[in-house]
Amino acid sequence: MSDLRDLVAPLFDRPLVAAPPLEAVAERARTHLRRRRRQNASVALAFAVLISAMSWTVREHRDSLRTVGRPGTPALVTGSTSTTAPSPALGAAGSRRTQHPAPTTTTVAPGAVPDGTRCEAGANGGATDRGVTAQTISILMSSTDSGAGASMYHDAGQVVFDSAMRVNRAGGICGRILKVVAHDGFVRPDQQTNTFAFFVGPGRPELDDYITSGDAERIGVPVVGTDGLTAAQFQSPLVWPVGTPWPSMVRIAVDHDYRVLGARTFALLFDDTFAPGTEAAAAFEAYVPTLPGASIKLVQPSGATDAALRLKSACGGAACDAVVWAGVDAQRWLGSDGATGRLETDDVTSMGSSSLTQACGSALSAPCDSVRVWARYTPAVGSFLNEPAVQAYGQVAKDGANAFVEGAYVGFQLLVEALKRTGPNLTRARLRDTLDHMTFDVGLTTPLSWGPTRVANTSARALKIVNGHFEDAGGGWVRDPLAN
Amino acid sequence: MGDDADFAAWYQREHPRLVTSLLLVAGDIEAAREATDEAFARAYAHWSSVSLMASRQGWTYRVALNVLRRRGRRARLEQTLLARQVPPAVVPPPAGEAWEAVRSLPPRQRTAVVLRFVADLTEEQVGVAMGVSRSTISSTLADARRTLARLLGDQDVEVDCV
Repeated sequence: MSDLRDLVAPLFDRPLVAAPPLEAVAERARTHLRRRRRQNASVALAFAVLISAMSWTVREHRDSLRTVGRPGTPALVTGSTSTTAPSPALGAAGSRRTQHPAPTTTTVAPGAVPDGTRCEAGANGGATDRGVTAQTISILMSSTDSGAGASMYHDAGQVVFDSAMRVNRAGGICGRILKVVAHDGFVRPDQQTNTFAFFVGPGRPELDDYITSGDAERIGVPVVGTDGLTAAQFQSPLVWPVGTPWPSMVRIAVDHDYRVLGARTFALLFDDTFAPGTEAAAAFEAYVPTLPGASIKLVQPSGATDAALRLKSACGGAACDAVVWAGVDAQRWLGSDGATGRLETDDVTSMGSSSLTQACGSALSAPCDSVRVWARYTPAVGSFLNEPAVQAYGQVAKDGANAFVEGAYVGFQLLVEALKRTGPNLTRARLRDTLDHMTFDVGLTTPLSWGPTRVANTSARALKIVNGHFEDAGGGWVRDPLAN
Repeated sequence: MGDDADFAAWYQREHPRLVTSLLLVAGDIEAAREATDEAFARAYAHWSSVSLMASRQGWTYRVALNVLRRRGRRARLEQTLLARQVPPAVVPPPAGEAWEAVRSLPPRQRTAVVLRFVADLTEEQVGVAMGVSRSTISSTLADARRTLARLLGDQDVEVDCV
């Protein structure tokens, strides 16, 4: 066989199925657009409910401010580009609630500010761009509150709302409160009028289409704080991801096992049904052969019916020094993949849930001993809870081990910080400039800054499972060996 | 929703290639037909912007692959929840053992090979459709070539990596 194309021709001699007539295509297209309009109507309803709630909150806040000096009254955020710590949460001294630590300050080059504009209510310049008024900043959020994955992703929306409400209780940003309009599912910013910034929560693969189709740049709304799980998110100057890409996670795990543990034979078990899994596999296959003496025993999609057999066949009896899991259900594979005698199993799925610790807590201690979980963000578990930033996050997260939710938290903190640093003369262009030149450190990652590659986070840290709980495995932040 | 004549010509030309490609990827004619119809409907709905894209094929194939994936996830969930027996995939016999070998490739390699040599997309367009970089597609096709060579015992398998 010399040319695969020669074999294609017979497939087109007789069409497999007839193409539906254009009228049918048009009707289906109209159905698609009607469905989108219904989704927008539900967004509008959510918006109306939300703005009512926020208006009530602002009125309450104004009432409390009239009584100067009342203990516990939140401070109003003032100042221009310097950052201030958010106000203390209301509560008695000694309460578990603590302040968010002040992020690293990077001075933003000042742009032209209209005369008399100050970072405070009534003087902030008013409607400086679409989605911005003297009182509000409109942020559209795509979330996953129903359907597949909701159980893992739903709380992301909650931590975003909680973060926004904290900002609003403190008086907003330069006198403007954050108006977060949530949509269950993906909706483009041009379908929601007056959107200033776009926040996309975890579990929304439609974001890739939005970017690769050119819509992100055509529509021009900054997409801030995405999870960085797919390559597409690093391909647009309108997107600022906060998560470590899956290829980096795989290389970090492999490189660690090679250098620190002396692993030489590697296998990968990955979910090939979505882009991050396939990207991780490509990175694995490209990187392992570059390590002297290292070899790949198996690259196995986890969904194949014979996946378990293949993995046991390839890696049973300590035939594989290290197996990397990328996007697989750890609880399903733990103890069933021939792990006995293996040096290491690396889970780079990054803690989508606590199912792994639950499985390890109940039984199977030996396989759990050899599992190393790599995390993009410092999780709110174990000894990490001694850190102030982790404590602050731990107070809003139901599951401190859910990295998808934590990524949403980090991403939204980035947006808040960038809005603060941009100041009262808030435009999309100035927000983009702020994001492109700032260093962001909320205390849960390495310091992040976005260069031409758009990859800000190139690190991960390792955890072990001890007595059914995640603990720091030591070693601190480990960088992608191929990162610039 | 756009220039009907322009869309109609493109639709008639691309429909056989897309449905055949998806059939070879998914092994399920109904899934391939559904994903094809949905992808073209969305292209028609957004034709004013899709028609201007450098890679309208890449965009359309991307939409179709996503529909396939979502359908696949639902089907697996249904299979799990309902203990439903999934009927074996029925794939019209393409020519020769070579395409059986393509069918046995890992899903990612199979998708890349089908998009490149059945759908006749460029590597760039394949990258758009699969949501990865062109260099990843190049390495994936190289891997597919090695796998096919091993399966067929043929050192002369060529995969055009232009």
